[in-house]
Amino acid sequence: MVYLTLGFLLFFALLAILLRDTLLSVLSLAAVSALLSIAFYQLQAPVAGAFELSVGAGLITVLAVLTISFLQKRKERRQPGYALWMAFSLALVALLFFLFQALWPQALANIIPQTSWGEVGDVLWRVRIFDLVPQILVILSAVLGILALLRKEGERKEK
Amino acid sequence: MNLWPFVFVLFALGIFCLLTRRNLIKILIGLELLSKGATLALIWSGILRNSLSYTQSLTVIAIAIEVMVVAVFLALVYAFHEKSSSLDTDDMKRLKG
Repeated sequence: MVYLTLGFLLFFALLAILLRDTLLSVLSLAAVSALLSIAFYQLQAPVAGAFELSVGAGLITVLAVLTISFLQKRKERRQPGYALWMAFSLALVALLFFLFQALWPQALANIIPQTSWGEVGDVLWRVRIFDLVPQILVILSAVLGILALLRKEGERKEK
Repeated sequence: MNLWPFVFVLFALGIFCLLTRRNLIKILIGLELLSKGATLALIWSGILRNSLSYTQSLTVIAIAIEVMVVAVFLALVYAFHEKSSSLDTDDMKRLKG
C-alpha cells in the first residue's frame, strides 16, 4: 500500500516538473505533499503526516498560488469547459476513493498508527527544546526578511 | 520493505528540476521535492532505527523551516519580478560577480 502511494507521489512529482503551466505544477506539488502525508500515516507517523498535510499541502500551496496570481496577468482566458472538467475530475477521484473504501474497508482500516501524539510532544518539548528556540529565531528572521524584500521603493528612498 | 529507492528518485527529480528549469517557480518546486525527499528519508530512518517519535519531531522542525524557506523565496521572486517583469533566471544578470 505504501509502494502504491509513493508510486503516485513520484508520478505527481514528475508532472510538477514537466507541466508548462506553473499553476498546475504547484497543484501537482500539493498532490505530492498530500500523498506524502498519506505515506507518513501508513508508516505509523501520524504527527508528521498531519503536519505535512496542513503545512506542505495547505500553507505552501496557498502561498505559491497567491504569488503566481499576483505575478501573472490574466491575459489568457481558459476555455469555458476547463473549470467543469476540473470539477468533474475531482468528483471522479473522490468517488473512486469512496468505492475503494466501501469495497475493501480492511485495506484502510488495518493502518493503525502506534505512535501517540503525547510521545512526540514529549520529545519535541523536552529532548529537542534546544531546537525550538533557534527555530523561533528562524521564523522571526524570515518574517523580517520578507518585510525587507516587500518594502515599497518610496520607503527605501526615504531611508 | 525498502523505501530508499523512492527517496533517491525523489532527490534525483528535485536535482533534475533545479538543474534544467529556468523558471523561478519551477526551481522552488525542485527545492520542495528535495525537502520532501529529506523528510521521507528522516521518517524511514526512524522506522529502521526504531526511534519514530524522535524522527517525527525532527520532521516537524524540518517542515517548519521548509515553510520559512519557501516564504522568503517567494518574496524574493516577487521582488525580482517587480524589478525585471520576468521569472527567468537568465535575466538575473545583475547578480553576476
